[in-house]
Amino acid sequence: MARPKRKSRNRLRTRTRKTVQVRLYHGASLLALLVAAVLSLAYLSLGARSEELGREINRLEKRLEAVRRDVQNEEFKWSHLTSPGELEKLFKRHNIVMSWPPPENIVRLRRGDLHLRFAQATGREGHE
Amino acid sequence: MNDKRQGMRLILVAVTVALVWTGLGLRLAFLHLGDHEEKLESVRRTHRHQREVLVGRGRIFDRNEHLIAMDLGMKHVSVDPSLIQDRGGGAFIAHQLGRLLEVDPAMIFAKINRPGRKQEYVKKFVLEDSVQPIRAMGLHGVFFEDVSARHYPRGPLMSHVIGFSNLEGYGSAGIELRYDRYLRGIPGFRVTEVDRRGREVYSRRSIDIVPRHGADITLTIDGRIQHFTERALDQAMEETGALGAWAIVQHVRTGEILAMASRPTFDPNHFRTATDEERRNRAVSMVFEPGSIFKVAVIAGVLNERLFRPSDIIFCENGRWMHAGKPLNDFRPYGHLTVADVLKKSSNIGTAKMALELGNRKVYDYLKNFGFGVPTGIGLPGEEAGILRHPSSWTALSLSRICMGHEVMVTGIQMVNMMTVLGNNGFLIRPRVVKRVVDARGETIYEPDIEVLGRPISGATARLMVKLLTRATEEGGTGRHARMDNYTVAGKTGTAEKVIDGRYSRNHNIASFIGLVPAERPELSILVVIDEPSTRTGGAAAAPVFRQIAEPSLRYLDIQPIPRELAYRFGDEVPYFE
Repeated sequence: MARPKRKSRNRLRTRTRKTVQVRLYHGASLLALLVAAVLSLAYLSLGARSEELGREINRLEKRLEAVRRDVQNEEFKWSHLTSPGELEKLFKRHNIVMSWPPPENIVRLRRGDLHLRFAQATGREGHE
Repeated sequence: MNDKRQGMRLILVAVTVALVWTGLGLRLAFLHLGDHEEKLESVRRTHRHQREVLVGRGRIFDRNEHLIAMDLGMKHVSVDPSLIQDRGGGAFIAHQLGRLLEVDPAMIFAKINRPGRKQEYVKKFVLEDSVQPIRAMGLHGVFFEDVSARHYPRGPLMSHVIGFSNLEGYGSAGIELRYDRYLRGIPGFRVTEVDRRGREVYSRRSIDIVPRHGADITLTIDGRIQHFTERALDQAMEETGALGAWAIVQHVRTGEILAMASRPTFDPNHFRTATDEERRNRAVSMVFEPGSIFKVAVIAGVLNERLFRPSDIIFCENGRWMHAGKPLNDFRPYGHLTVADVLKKSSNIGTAKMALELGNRKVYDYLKNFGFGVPTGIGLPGEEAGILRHPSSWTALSLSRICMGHEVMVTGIQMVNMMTVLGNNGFLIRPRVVKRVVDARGETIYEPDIEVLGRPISGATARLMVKLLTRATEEGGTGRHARMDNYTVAGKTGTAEKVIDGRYSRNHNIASFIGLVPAERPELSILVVIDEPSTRTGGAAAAPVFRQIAEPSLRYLDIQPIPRELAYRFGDEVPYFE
């Protein structure tokens, strides 16, 4: 009578083991899927982020080029406007006559003089 | 019944979906399993984009860092005739473009009406400011293409020194040509992919070699002094009706060229319309017989050898002397003159007698040591060496002619550099126009220093020569028109007859003046040469131009006059001067 009892106990043990194995297998599969999903999402997110950064770099490169062109344009205009010939034309147009000051009208200050005058005017010691 | 129809519909949808998916699957399998390399390459070609990343040329500045040459972003303005014809309004567009771009509207209208054309250029190299109003109008069928072009914001100012670069971006004259390797930079290279709208996909940029921008060049030329020089030359050209004129201003102690101008001139922004004569930098590339200004070099040699003293008397044959069977004439007849007066009155006979005492070989050696017969190495393309023949090929007459500036050819830069020797205690230094070259990272890659080439005469002789030359600008001297109120000028006039049809012509002269200022402590060495002026002599034509250049330049540089009571004390320290 004891034999059939052992048989059914063995069968039960085998079934339990199989059930645990299946559950472990499913759990592992689920975990692998989860990891794969997370990695995929991270990959997609990084991909999207790098694409976005790439677009931003492209945009900034174009902006830099445009700003560089604007600077060049302004430098060109400034250089043209301040050229001696252009200034003379402007003086003529506005009837401005420029002449050098006579030497006796020129006051020359040395650094020491400025230092002294600053001290006299402000009561503080100036820095040379 | 309804269930049956619904079932049929479901089957139909399922079959359609199945067919579509099957088709797509087959197509996919065909693309992947078949010979797909060719197709893959075609797709890659469509998306791949490789191009040279162009860089602008470096900029050129004057010594005060004022911009002289630069690359400027500009636009080509074009129209799409087919688009405008479809939508109408061609006459209006032509009128507006013509008005804003200063182009004949009829010409634009003719371009718009060309059948079957997709693009017609209206105007190339248009400044950004001129494009803005057109863009604001939103005219259909009008397009703008980004281009970069060399531009010279100060127009013709110092055009002969800077030169120009051609439309391909290669230097073709002047500094642009000589320093092309520095200015041009190195273009980059990029291999990348674009999306279907032609936008670059940054993450697919596989090769990206960063371009290296061209280096910036700072010249020794001062824009202000250049302007004074050019203004004075323009006035001289107008007043004397000369064929041409050139002038050089050199800083004595450093050898730096502060101004170099040549007439006729051109605007480097429109170099294609300029003639060869206009483009020619006469200051370095035109050789000429210098005439009496050359006497300075010969007399300096004579005095350096101590063969004569300034107070020694020379008989000037009353204006006509037969030497080696040929007559030698003075401009005015003189009897007995001191050596100092020979220079002051510019006597040909007196100078010839002194040179004969020195002899052929020694005169030749002195002239060689002063730098004649070889290029100065200033660093400008097209510099001529001049002609100074070896004494073995001289005739019996040669020395008497060479000492008065004939039978010898020089350039303007050689002459001014010779004069600088006198102001520099006898040291010959190399003239230069470039102060420094700075690369795109801000590092100085070339910065020439003062280069002493030799010492043809002693310091005492140099100072004596300066002293003697100040007499030429005093009352009774040939260069009195170069005198200034507050400064003492040491200078010499020159009037050389030109060779026309193989003979010296009295009616075709080269008038010149060369001088140092202030004579007591020379700062500037200036040469003025005028080709065939109506007022023939150097004293009348070139000396006033010298003054017009020197006066504002000295004020601008804040070189203060030497007080009269302190002026000219160095006669004492010079041996054998009385």
